[in-house]
Amino acid sequence: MDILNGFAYLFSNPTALGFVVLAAFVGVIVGAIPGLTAAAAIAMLVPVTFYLDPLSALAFLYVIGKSGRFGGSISAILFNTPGTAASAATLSDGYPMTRAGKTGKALKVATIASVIGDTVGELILIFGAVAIASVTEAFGPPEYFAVYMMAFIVISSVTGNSIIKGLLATVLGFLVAMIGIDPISSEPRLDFGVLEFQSGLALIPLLLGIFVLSELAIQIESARKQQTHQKNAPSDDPDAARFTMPEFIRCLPVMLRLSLIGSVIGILPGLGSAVAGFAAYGEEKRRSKNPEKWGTGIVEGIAAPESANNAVSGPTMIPLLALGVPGSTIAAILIGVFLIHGIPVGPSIFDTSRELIFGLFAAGLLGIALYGVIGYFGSPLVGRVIAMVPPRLIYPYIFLTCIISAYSARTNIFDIMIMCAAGLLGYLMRKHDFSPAAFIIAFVLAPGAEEAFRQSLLLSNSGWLIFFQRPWAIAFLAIAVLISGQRIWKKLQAARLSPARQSTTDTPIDELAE
Amino acid sequence: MDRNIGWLTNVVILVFGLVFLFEAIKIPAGFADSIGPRLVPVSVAIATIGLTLLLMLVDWRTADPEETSHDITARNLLVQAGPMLMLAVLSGLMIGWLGYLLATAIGGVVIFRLFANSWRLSLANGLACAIVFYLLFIKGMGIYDPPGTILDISNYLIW
Repeated sequence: MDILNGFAYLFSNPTALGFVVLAAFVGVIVGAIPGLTAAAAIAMLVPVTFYLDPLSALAFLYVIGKSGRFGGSISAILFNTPGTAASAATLSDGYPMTRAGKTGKALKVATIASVIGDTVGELILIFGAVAIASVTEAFGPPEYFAVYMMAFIVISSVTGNSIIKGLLATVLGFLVAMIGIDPISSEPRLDFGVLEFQSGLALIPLLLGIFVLSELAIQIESARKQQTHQKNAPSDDPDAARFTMPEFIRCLPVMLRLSLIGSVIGILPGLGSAVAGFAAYGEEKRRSKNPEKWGTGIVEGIAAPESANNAVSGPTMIPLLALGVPGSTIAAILIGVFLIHGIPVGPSIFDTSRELIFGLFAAGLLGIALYGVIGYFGSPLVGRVIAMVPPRLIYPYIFLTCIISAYSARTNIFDIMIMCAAGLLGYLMRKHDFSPAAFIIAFVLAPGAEEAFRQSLLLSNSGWLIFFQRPWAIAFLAIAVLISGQRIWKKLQAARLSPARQSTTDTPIDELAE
Repeated sequence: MDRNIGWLTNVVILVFGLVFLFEAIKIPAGFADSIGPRLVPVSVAIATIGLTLLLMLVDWRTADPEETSHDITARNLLVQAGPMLMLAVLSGLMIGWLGYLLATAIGGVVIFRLFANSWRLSLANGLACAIVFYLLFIKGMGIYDPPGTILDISNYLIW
């Protein structure tokens, strides 16, 4: 019933409705541009939302996140270059289909799988978030600290090929987040005598530097060679390019099963679409009766990762709404937008801003339908347009948008300098296989984690044992230990089997970006 | 110039950790709670230094001389990525010196050139971009445009 009220609230706000439609288009196009992730696009467009009402602002960014994830599959299928890390698993079967003259079928499978996955995830968000929030309302600082610890351990152990690099990216993010005000005593610390540091570092410039500027720095290296995207795929065979009903019926169980797996991955803070995409592809290939056909261009090879990576989108909002803990980069940006509009995030949000939240959920469902229509009928056109415009013309516009976005966050030129420093750090991190996503998520979570840690000890009569006296805290810590333990175990096994193959046996989950 | 300088990342992070550690140990202990504002930053800085040293050791032991795909070369850093990052810094400074419109026009032309566009295309796109962005962000959204400290053209703008 609440969701119907949400739709009524959304449709009573023409501005919000207009921004949802705009976001569906912008997200698909931006997601299809290689190197530009949905999170980066959202970071660049945050200033636009400062002047909007809360629903329009949140719905705009939320739907860009959704359609951007889908848009990544267009360039994966057409150009063998994933538009976002989330679509990296899609190209294994998507591009071979393009080479075989089945582009239309590949894009339709990607669209349908994305819509089904995203809808399942959104429904889990709608029905799950309220239920989880009713449990988390009773959480105190020890439980919150355990959730934060779970996020830190999970992101540092599953992002990238090296656990040490994952840990290092996480502690670096934590370190940078401590610049500014101490969360308990409110005294400035780690300000290096610089006045601007006393209020801490803003997320948007950091995000733009780490994700966008570093990507541009990498793209500029190939700009002279790369004049346009690849356009050497053969044209479609009209008969082979149709996605038939028997194929859809064959793929439907795959899509539904992996939508659920993607949703579970989405709920865990720190994981994301890229993890879901690769996990789904690996799992479905393992279950398949013909695993040798995977990678040659089969529809299941697109349906599996696309349904899972889009199913992540809704559930990543559950930690944000039920706990006030952003579990992804996009959620981290959205928490900032909530706060800009004076809406405190946490389990009480369902009491204080119920209409807005269900309006946002309705916008999510509408956004899915819109990008589904755009994707089904317009993906080849989007691909053709991106193929026609050379990257060397697109990237300078992105660069100039970054400058104004970084500046406008606090109308402070110092933030542009922070973005540049973050750009250099991000460039070095990407080149050295560190996870920029782990850095950013740790930066966002660190203040809350420190506050929860110190508040827990203030409450405790038994010191550090307080974290092992609460069942929920123990459960969260156990999940973290299990996930990281499994990862370490796999690494050790791979090393024992063949030290030379160690780096290639791992799933190349590099930047989650969402 | 093509020398691999991949170790640079580890050195940068190590220096980062050391600088933060020296700053963190200067934080007063505080009495608001039993932990105080110093313990967490000091612990995280030490963890950063420890992990970086461990990574350096691992990198040194497992160095593969043939692996070059992700390497950072001095050429790329100094000739391509570096100038772009420097241009971003300069664009920021120029906003303070010249105001948004002029800074974006200059920065725009240079960034189009850096991405290997022709001078004519760079000039046309850079100027067009500056005008469109100025109208959209400064005039349309009301983002504050600081008067240039070196050259202030805000009085001559008809918009």
